This record gives sequence, C-alpha cells and structure tokens, in this order.
Amino acid sequence: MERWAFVWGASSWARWPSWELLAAFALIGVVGWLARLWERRPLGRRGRPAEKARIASLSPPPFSTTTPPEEKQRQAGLCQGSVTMDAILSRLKLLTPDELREEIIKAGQKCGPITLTTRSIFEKRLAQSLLEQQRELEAEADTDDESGAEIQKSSNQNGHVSSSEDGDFGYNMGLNPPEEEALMHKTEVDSLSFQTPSKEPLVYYGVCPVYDDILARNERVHVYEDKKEALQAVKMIKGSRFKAFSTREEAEKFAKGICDYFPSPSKTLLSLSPVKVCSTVFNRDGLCSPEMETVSKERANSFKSPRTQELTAKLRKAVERGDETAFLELVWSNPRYLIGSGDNPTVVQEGCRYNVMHVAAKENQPGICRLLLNTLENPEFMRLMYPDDDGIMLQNRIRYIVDLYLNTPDKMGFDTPLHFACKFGNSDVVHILASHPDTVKNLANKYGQTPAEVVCERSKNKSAELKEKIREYLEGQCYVPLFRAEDNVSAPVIGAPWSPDQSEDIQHGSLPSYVGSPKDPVLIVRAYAGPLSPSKAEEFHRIWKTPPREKAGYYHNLRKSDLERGVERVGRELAHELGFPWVEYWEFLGCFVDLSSQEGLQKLEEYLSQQEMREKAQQETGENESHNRYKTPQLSGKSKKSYNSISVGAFLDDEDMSLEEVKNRQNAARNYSRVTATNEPTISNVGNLECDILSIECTGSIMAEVSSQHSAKEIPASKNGFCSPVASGRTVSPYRRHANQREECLPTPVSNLMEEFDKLSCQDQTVAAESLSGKPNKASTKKHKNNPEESTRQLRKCKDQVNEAVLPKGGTAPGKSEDTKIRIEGKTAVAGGPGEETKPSCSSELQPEMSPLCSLNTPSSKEKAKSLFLLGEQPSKLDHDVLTALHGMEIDSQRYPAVFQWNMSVQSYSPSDRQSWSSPSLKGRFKSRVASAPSSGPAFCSPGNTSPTFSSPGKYNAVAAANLSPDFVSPGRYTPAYVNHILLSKRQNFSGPLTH
Amino acid sequence: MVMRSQKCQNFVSEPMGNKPITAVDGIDEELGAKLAAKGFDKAYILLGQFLLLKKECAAFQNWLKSSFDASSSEAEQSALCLLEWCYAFL
Repeated sequence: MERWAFVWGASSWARWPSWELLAAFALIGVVGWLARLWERRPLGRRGRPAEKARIASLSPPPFSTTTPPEEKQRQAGLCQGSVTMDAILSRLKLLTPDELREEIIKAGQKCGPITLTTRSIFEKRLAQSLLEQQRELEAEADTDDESGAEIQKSSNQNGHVSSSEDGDFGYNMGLNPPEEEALMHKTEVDSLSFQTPSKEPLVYYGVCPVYDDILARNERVHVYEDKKEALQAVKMIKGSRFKAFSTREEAEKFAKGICDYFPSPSKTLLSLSPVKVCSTVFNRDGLCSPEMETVSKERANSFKSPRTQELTAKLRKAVERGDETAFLELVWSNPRYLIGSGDNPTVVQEGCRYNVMHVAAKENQPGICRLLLNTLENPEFMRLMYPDDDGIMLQNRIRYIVDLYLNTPDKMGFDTPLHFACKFGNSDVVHILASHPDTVKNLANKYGQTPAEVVCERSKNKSAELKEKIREYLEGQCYVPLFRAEDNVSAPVIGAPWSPDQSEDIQHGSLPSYVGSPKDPVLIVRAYAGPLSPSKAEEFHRIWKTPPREKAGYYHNLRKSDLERGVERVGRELAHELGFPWVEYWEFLGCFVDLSSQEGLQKLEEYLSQQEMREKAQQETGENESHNRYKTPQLSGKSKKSYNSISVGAFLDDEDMSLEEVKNRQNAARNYSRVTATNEPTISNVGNLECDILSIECTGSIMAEVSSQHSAKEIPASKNGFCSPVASGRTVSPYRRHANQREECLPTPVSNLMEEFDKLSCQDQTVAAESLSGKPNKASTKKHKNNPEESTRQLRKCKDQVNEAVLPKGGTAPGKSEDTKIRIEGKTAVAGGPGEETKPSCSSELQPEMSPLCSLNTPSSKEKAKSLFLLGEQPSKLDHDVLTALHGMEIDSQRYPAVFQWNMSVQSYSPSDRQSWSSPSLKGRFKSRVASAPSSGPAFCSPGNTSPTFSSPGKYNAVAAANLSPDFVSPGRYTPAYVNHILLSKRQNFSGPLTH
Repeated sequence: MVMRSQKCQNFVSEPMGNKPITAVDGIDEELGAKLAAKGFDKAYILLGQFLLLKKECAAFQNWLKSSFDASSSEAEQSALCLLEWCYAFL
C-alpha cells in the first residue's frame, strides 16, 4: 500500500507539481490511516455522493494551499481513486474556459460551448477520462480500485436509469396509453356532469375490467357515484375502462361486461367479443362511434400503428440515411409506417409535419423516393393494410395516398416535396417526382412560389446547367417512341411525343392503331428518345420523321437499307447528335438500353462473358470426351498433339490468362506442330478423317430431325405465347424439355466433331507456327487471332456463293499451298458444322453442299473458341447492328474485355461483309412464317439457348413487355416501356379469345 | 424591427436539424467562426443558449455582443430568428 501510494505520489508529483503539498499530506496520512482503511470503506462510499454534489455545485470552492488539513486527509484517505478524481476536478476548476477547452480537445473529446451550466459537466467528463488514462498507465495498480468500482457502479446506475426510462415508453399500448384514454373520458364526463342537473347522484360510473380477466370479473361490481373513486378504480385495474350512466343498472351491466363492452384498444388482440358500440348511452357515443368504427375496421390487418418515436427515430433516420433495405424492412413489417389514420401519409417530422416524401426530397434520396412510390403503388402493400378490400377499392386507396404523398404541403412553408427537391437542387428527386403523372407541378407555397420558381433557391452553388435540367424536368417529360409490329410486317411508326402526364384517353390516342381490327399487327415500342422537354420532343419528332435536308439522302438510305433497324439507326444518330437520351430494345439483352452508354456496355459485357462461360463449359465437356476417346484407339503421339491443340484453343478463349502462360503454351504448341508438320503428310490426316464422315453425316441428320421437330413444336408455342401470358408460361416448359432433348443429343456430335477439330487445328497450327516461327511471341499472338478471322472471311465468301459448286472453288484456289487450301475448305465446313448445330432452320438447305465438304475437312477448335458472336459462333446481322450502335465508342479493354474482344473480331470483317450477314430473325421466320415474335428468331439460332439465363423465346417477350420484372427498372416507370406493358396487357385481354 | 430576411425565412421554415451556426439569420461567416471556436458550431447549440437565457431576446443580444463582439443588428437578427423558430416549432 505504501509503495502504491508512493508511486502514485511520485507520478502525480511529476505531472502536477502544484499538488506536491497534498501528495505529501497523503503520504503522511496514509501511514495513519492504514490500519483503519477497511473499516472506513463503507463510510467512504456513503460519503461520496455528498462529495460529488459538492463538486458539482456551481460555485467552485476556492482552492488554496491552506485548506484545512483534516479535509485533505479525508480526501486522501477515503480512497485513492476518489482523491485523484477530486484532485483532477479541482485542478480543472481553476482553468479558464479556453484552457479547459484545450484540455478537453487534447483528451480527444468533443467540446461544446463552456458556459456556467455546461462547465461542470465538461469538467466531470474530462476528469473521468483523465482518470481512466491514468489508470491505464498504472496497469499494476490494484484491480479492485475502489474509485473504479465506484465509477463503474455509477455508470451502471445511469445505464439502468436510462433503460428504465426507455421501458416506460415501451408499454404495450395501442393508440393511447390508458391514462390518456381515461383523461379523455374524464373530460367528456366532466362536460356531461355539467350538463346534467344535480339533484341526486345522477351519474353512475361503471368500471369495466378487462373481459378475459376472470379474477377481476369475480370481484364486486365496480360502480361508483364519485368520479374520483371511479378513476382510482380504473387505475387499479389495468386495462379497464369506465363510463358514466344515468341509472345504476346500466352502470352495473357495463361493469359486469355484459353489454356495451368494448375492449381497450391495447387489448384488442386478446379480446374475444366483437366490438360494438352502444348508441343509447348519452350523446358522447355519437362522438365516439365513428372513431371506434374506423378503429375496428382498420384493425382488420392487426398492425399496430407505430409510435411517434418509432416514426421519427427509425423511419425518418432510415430515409435520411438513404438506407433502402432498412426502409423496406420497416415498411413491409408494418404498412402503418407509411399509411397513417384515414389513409393519410404518416408524419415523420413533428412540428412542420413532413412525411417521408418531404424528408426524402429534402435529403436528396432519389432511391427512397422511387422505392416509396413503388411500394405505395404495389397492390400487395395496400393489401397488407386492407386485407378485405376488393381490387377497385385498393386502387382508389392507392391513388389517394400516392396523391397525398406527392402533393401534401408541409406546415411551415406549404412546400410540397417537389418544392423541396427544387429548392435544394436535387435533380434526381425532381426527375422522379416530376415524372409521376399524379404530381401537381404548379402548387404555390406560402409565399406564392411554384416549384419552378424556387429552383436551387437554397443551394446557390449549384451549376446553371443543373438548374436548367431541373426546369426541364419540371416542364414535363415527353418521349418520342418508335413502334414496330411485333413481326415487322408493317412499316415502323414514329409516334407523336408522348408524355406520362396525359390522361388515359389521350395516351391511347397517341398510340397509333390501338383502335383497329384485332387482326392488325400488335405494335410495340421498340425504341424511344427521352425524357425530353415537350418542345425538344416535338423538335426531335420532326427531325426524325424528316431529317434535315443536307443529310436527308444519307438517312433515307439508312432507313431503306436496313429494314429491321433502319429507323432506329436514324433516331439513334440524331439523338446522339443532339445529345438526347436514347434507348432501344435489344432482344438478346431483353431490355431497353442505349448500348453506347456505360450502362449499355456493362450489359453487353455481362451478356458476352456469360455466353463465353457457357461456351467454355460446353467445350470442356467436349474436350474431356474427345480426350478419352482419343487416347484409347490412337497413337500416343497423336493424343499428345490433340492435347496440345486443345490447349491452344483453350488459351485463346481464356482471357484471364497471363501473358507468360500464353507464351509458354504457344511455344509448346509451335514445337509440337512443327513436329507434326515434318512427320506427317496432311493427306494421311485427311485420310484418317475419312472414316469419320459417316458419323458426321449421321449427326447432321439427327440434328436436322431434331430441328424440324423442334421448329414444329416451336411454332404453336410462340403463337400461343403471343396471345396470352399464361399460354406463354405454359409453352416455356415444352420448349425447355425440348432444349434438354437437344442437349442430350448434343454430346455425340460435339465429341465427334471435337476429334476433327483437334486434327484440323494441328494442321492450322502447323501453318501458323511455320509462318510465324521467326517472329516475336507477341506478334504471333496477334497473328493467331487474325488467322481464324481471315479464314472465316474466306469462308464467308464461299458460303455466299453456296449455289455455285463449292468444291471446285475450294480446289481451284490458285497459288496456295495444299495446307492453306485445305484450311479454307475446312472453314467452309466449319460454317457447315456449327451451322447445323446452331441454325436448324436453315440446315436442311445447307446440308447437301456440306456433306462433300465434310469428307475433306473438319472444323477447328481454335476457330470455335475464337468466334464468339452475339448469337453463337456465327456473325449475324445483330453483330452488325450492335457494332453500329456502339459506333464511335471507345471500348475500354480493361473494363469490358469481352466487348473489346467481340468488337475486334467483328471489325475484322469488311463493312460489305458485315452488311451481307443475314438477320437472325429473318431466318427464324423463314421456316416458320407463323411465328411472329421477332425474338423467336434469335432463339432458333443461338446454340446457347439451352442455358437457363437465356431460356426461351416466348418468355423473352413476356419478361420484357408483359411482366416487367422487378429488375426491369432502368428506363423508369413512366416511360413508354411501361406503357408498352400496359398496352400489351390490354391488348392481350382484348385479342385473347380470338386467337385461341 | 428588422425585416424578415430570406435567410430567416429559410431557417424558420424547417426543422434546424444539423444546420451549421451560419444558417441562423444574422450570423455571418466571421461571427460564425468566432462562435464555433467557442464550441457553438451548430445552430441548435445556439438555440440551447437562447433557451437557457429564457428566450429573452435582450439577454441573448447582450450575450452575443459582449462575448462575441457581434454588432447590435446581427444580435437582433439572430435573436429574432431563433425566437421565430421557437414560435414555429416549440
């Protein structure tokens, strides 16, 4: 103990020299107090509060060295901890406010203003933290340091107190706590008793305990003549209620709970009897009953209305933070967070009566705004609130509350959410609010200003650009849509500027050919420019229809040359030129998107990498199989070769691979292929292949069969899928089944072909390696990439002249080595091979020409791995379209590797080649005229269709147009895309019976 | 009587939340910095002081003038602003 005191004394000595005297006293005192220390402890504890109070008092005791010694002794002796606390405190008292502030900041605490009232609190807090610091320094000090325990205890006490305060709020209450209710009744009763003439005890107070409280029921009947007694009784019996009656019998009846009983709101869940209001007892029932009725009606959903604290603390905080998950959780756990009594928006900020929308608009939380509107407009949400209402009623309610949320002014400045969003320059919120058709955009606030007049009033540093943007949003948002018949049988129509604000009938008027015979093709929105301000939309519409004179020829040509996307291309170029937002529908992505935007590139990238993955997976299975097959019957050298070529193929399609690895593999490949080239005559290879022709032809016919089956099934399916969403849902499954079937058949051809691939790629390698052997590795990689492209180009030529004799052409290729010749022909065969797989619809025509070719050569795996186009392994018009849509975009090879690669491979074709690529949808329709959905076209062609991500043609349309799946949000809710969906669903209802 | 300025209107029309001290009418950057140095960095802290002085504008103005060298017009404006806020929200 002495040692401890000494240590303490020394340390404090060093730190606070002014305290040396007291420390010396303490040292002396300690000796004397040592024996009695333990007896004094409890006393010390008792003494502490008094001590604290003294310290806390506003007048600081003047410190002087002449403090009575006994006082110091007591301080020193009570316990060391308390002494230090006191010591620090009294030291702090001497400081000027500025010094104190410095100290506080040094201790790492926040410092508010130091005034008379706050100073003592700051001092105490600082002292405590200093003490703790000190205690940390003296780690060797006794663990049962009394002051520590003391502090702990006091803080515990505080914690307890605060929690119990919380607990007070937490009573299980309904609308009002019982006291309030009682008070309410009391006042009413008061007024009543004033009215009634006082001859006798005219008023009897019946106190009814809680119904299911049997004990209470068995007690005597609570009927009082004195109101005070009654109130007391009410207080005694929790949950009970009382009522004034003119006769004693009635009061007794009520007290027994026989009639006129209705439970207190807080107990509704427990109550058994239905809520009934007695209308005969006094006029106040007239006042109560509507309220009670609404209560009973709203009770249907058994949600409790959240307390004000919950609304302000939880909901508003979530909104202010923009915490969407918390918001959703809260709101869906209890719809009353959003829907207050009488279907009014809840108030989350008392005083100025803000609702959630105000707060979100003010705090710039566009996400919450959107979420709020979506939630409110979700019938499911309203259903949660009113489980018993029918659909129309729910719709009415939704419209009512959405209107209120959008247009309720606040209490202070009569500002609507739109005012707030404009004032603070939150353009995203303005965008969302202004795009909602129910928003009133010209409400005046307290000072007579409309939202447009207060733009950026409160945030002066926003750019003029932003202000302009907000003004534009406020002007209203128009879209210029482009309609196409779903099967593209009629000419596309450029619709008049359309705005979601317009009323229903105008909407329909602006959508052409909605009124018409059901035989007319269904027009759907394929692209649109917008949102634009009305004037701009008008202008754009005009330009789109009649392009400016100087460019008219060009645009006209564009339009005429490309039946499927010509008008889109014109619109796209115009929109980009003018800087207007532009989106069009891409079937393969299943959404409206502007491909030249970052978002579009992202989508494309996702799609391509997904496709690649699929391809890889397919190939891997193929590889394995071919491996096994190869190894057993063939020579070891050959198997080695095949392995090698596969690895080369693999590296080509694996882009994550490091350059070094690529180099290694390539070196290896070159070595091997050189060996092959020297040792093996190509003809023998071809000879070897001869034996495989049969199998290939077999698979070809199998495929053809499958495909014809497939298309036969597909036609009705797509037809059905077209008419009603239900049917399309059903037809999905046959297609899927079918897809499985196809997959089942696939392994055989694939594995067969794989063998051929391997062989052929050996040859390819030979040529490539020989030609490149002298060049550095990097260059060789490039060459490798180019090689297949080159050859495919040649192949395209061959294919274009498919009516001519292919064999002669291949054979007469002059000036080329035998190897190359074979390669060219090989490519043709490649085209045939995958063509069979991928395009069943056209395979039948191609097959005759292909079979002779097959005898000569077979596809290469390298090629297969390389040429990943949007719809499989073959370039199609879609690739061309997408390329033009991407026109002028710098593609970041780091961010969008797959798009970059695709871009490279597509651009390797000459423009004229690209233009001759056939449209997938045309092909799709070639076989099945009846199948009118354009999206069924790509479905036919792509082999990757079997994967779940790109599942079925019918579904595609359904997802994009009819379902509007939750993730389909990018163009916003009130865009033509959305209207499309409405229109389509209406149309489906309309035409459904006819086509069935 | 000082005319109600736009700043005052803005301040009074909303809950003060976490607004900085300079959002209070009559307190410019300079005075705001002085106040913030003494710990009055938020509007609500100044409101606290105002309330502690029992919403007495005269006392509050004196306090502002004596401790922070505020001009009398500044003091008057801020006192009025806080008073109006109290009317609206308390």
